[in-house]
Amino acid sequence: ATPQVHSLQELRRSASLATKVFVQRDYSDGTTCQFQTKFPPELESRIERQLFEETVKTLNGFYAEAEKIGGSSYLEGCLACATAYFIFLCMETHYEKVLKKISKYIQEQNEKIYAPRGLLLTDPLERGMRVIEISIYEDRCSSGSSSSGSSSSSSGGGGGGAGGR
Amino acid sequence: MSVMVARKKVVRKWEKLPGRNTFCCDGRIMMARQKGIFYLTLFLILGTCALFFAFECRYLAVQLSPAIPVFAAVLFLFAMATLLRTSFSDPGVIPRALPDEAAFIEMEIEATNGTVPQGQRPPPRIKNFQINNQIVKLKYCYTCKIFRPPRASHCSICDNCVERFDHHCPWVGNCVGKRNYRYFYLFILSLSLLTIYIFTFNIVYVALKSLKIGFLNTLKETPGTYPSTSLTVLTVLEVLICFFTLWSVVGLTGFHTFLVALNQTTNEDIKGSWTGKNRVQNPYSHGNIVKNCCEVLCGPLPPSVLDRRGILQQEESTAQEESCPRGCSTQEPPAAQGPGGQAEESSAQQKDGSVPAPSLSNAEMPEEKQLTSGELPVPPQDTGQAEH
Repeated sequence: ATPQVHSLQELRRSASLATKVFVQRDYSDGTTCQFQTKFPPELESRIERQLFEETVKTLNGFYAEAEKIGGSSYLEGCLACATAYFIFLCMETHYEKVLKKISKYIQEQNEKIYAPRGLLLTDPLERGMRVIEISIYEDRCSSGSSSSGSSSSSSGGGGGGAGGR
Repeated sequence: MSVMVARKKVVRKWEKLPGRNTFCCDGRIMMARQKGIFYLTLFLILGTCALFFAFECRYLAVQLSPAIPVFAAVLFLFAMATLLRTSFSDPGVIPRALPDEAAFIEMEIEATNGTVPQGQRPPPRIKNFQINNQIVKLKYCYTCKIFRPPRASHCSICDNCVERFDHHCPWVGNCVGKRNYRYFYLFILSLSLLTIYIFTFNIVYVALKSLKIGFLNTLKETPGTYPSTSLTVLTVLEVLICFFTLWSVVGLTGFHTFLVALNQTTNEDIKGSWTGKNRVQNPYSHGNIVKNCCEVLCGPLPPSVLDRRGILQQEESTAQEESCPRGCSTQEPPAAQGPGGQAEESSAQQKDGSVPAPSLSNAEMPEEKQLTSGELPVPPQDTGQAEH
């Protein structure tokens, strides 16, 4: 329970989910987990381009680190094989450690940068590593300017009332 | 709404996962639906090894060396461990897209293709062209409503998209994909060695015995406890099983060694994705056999994204349940479909407090934390991604 909690709570109470943007995977480098740094047009008015790009680039860096093929990952693999993979019952893999770092980073980014702008990042792990989901909130007080272009399905799917209690 | 304590059974995400999988041990184990052949595999391995240890080993340990049963035991345990790992773990299933995401993608598709007039069928496969050094086409999966990553494929038996899909193996009772391919390979490798080992020492056993007491007497010999069963029948049975297993499993091991060296999957090999004049070369191969082997067998292992043991948030309001098409009992409809971390909290109201970090520790959170409240149910960080 920190001040951050209150700001996000206030965000929820005063804002409703307008739409969601999905940043897709970038397969130009093979099957490694990388996300496109292309700036979604829906975020144009909400956040500065370089902040967004920096977030995605840092995330890409984390994922590259997790999937890095090198001496230490081979060592881990061989050690695990030698123990018939029983070692995974007590040890965390390098990948899992990096994923923890990632979720801390996303939490931090949300608190510092995205929540004050009425946005929310969802950890790609929760979406099967397919997309980075960015929820865009509209302040109830401000009128209009919700993305009218998007069909109603997205806001309907977003599950309406934030204040549902 | 005030805080309520729900004294109902905890519902975990695996219970609501789409696809045709069976789950055991409260979501820790994940297999295909048909398991009959898997039981046969288990029976054959356990049965043959039991006979070997019970009869031949006793004689050989004394006559030749006690290392013989020890080494056999090591091979046997390794083969069993890798078999169970292959059968019980998540092969790399890609969770289906939540409705939001699916709608977003469909909008993008329509934007590029233009809307299809009423009454006409949409184009059969929607492809998205991405440029590597070569052009890689991503196919759209109508069941999972996603663009499949390269090398992923949809398994029709399990009804899931699987990353780096190799094949569906009925002997193992599961798909073989990115996350369990190395276990599968080590299983068939150790099984080959075990089969050769047992086969060889059975022959040695019969030969040794024949030298001592003559071949005909060997055939007539009966073990103490089974007066009606000749010892030779058991040995012959083992030899037969090993013989047939040898031809199939050793051949399969050879084939997969070839695939590993080239960093290909069975699926790609069958479809001929990388062969032929007009096709691109395999862009995933490093060109070096050793490097390919190292990456496939010892590379980093991504954890499961399915979060089978995460707890579904239960809500009292039936209105919410009715609105949910899949009949799941989460607060917000889109969340329930997508297994993953705190999928339920993707809807606005759940993001209370800080964004909960999915804890990937193997320790499981105690069930008693499942207290549903009208307020934000703080989810236990139970992603339960124990390696299975």
